[in-house]
Amino acid sequence: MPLFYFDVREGSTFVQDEEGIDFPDLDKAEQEAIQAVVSIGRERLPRGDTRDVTVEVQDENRKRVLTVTVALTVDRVDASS
Amino acid sequence: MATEFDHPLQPLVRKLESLTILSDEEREAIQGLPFKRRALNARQDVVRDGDTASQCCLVLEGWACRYKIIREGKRQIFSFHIAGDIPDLQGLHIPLMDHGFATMTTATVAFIPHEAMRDLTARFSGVAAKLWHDMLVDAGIFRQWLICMGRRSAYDQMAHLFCELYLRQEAVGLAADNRCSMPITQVDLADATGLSYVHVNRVLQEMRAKGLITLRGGVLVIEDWDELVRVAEFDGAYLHQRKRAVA
Repeated sequence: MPLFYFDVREGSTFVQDEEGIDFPDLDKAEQEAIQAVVSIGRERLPRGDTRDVTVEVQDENRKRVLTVTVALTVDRVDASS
Repeated sequence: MATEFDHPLQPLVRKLESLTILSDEEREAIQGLPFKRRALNARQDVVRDGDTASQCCLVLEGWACRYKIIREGKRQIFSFHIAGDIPDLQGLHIPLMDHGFATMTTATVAFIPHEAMRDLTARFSGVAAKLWHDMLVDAGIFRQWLICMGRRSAYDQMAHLFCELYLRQEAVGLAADNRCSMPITQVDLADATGLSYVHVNRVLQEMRAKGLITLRGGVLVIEDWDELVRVAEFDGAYLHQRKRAVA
């Protein structure tokens, strides 16, 4: 099974995956990236200090193959207008 | 740590004595149980979901877990087990297994026939009570996992798990000085916490960066116990360890 690395970026914080993990194919790696970005975003975004979380998937040669981002948008209607 | 002079079933005695007090007679009766010793490979099923159990499996060495597989091969691990644990003790009264039990590392186990366990508990009601005690503590650990999975952040949940696994090992003489065995992959941790592998990896890196723990090569080093306890909101009372209760 091919090896994939999953780096996580949350605003100014960057966490590099040092170990990587095997997945049968890119589709499964994409599913993992989606699960991860949603669960990290669910915790991280409500804190308010960052508005997006990105998981970047790389192949065994550290070449980027996929990026998944979740972003939070708050649109407050201006009462004075 | 076990020595060559220990009785083979000593891990069970040590486990029960970490929770309760055994009389000399009870200790001897436990050590008199018939058993078959087996060396198992890592990641080997001991009992499968749906099996009917006819013996108890005592872990003598190594790590095991209880788990269930759901659709698409997703696995939930719901407990980790170390030397002295009998992960399938409930099979003594409800033999139909509603989950699986497998080794995580190479392991040595002792299979004890149900018949012998029944005979032991019939002759020594104190031993029966102490095994029941052990199962009640086991249920308490499940409650904590439920709270962690349902309500704590990934970071706090994993901090809680590390506190628990350290204290459980310390209580049976398998850990000291904030350092213990932790032969768990990040995939195992993900399956035990309900998190994704990437999320687990991210939390471990953050804990390392903050000087809380390091987890490498199957060894957990807790660099800052007080801070780990604080973030996890950890209160070890649910483990009902005698040493802790006295301290």
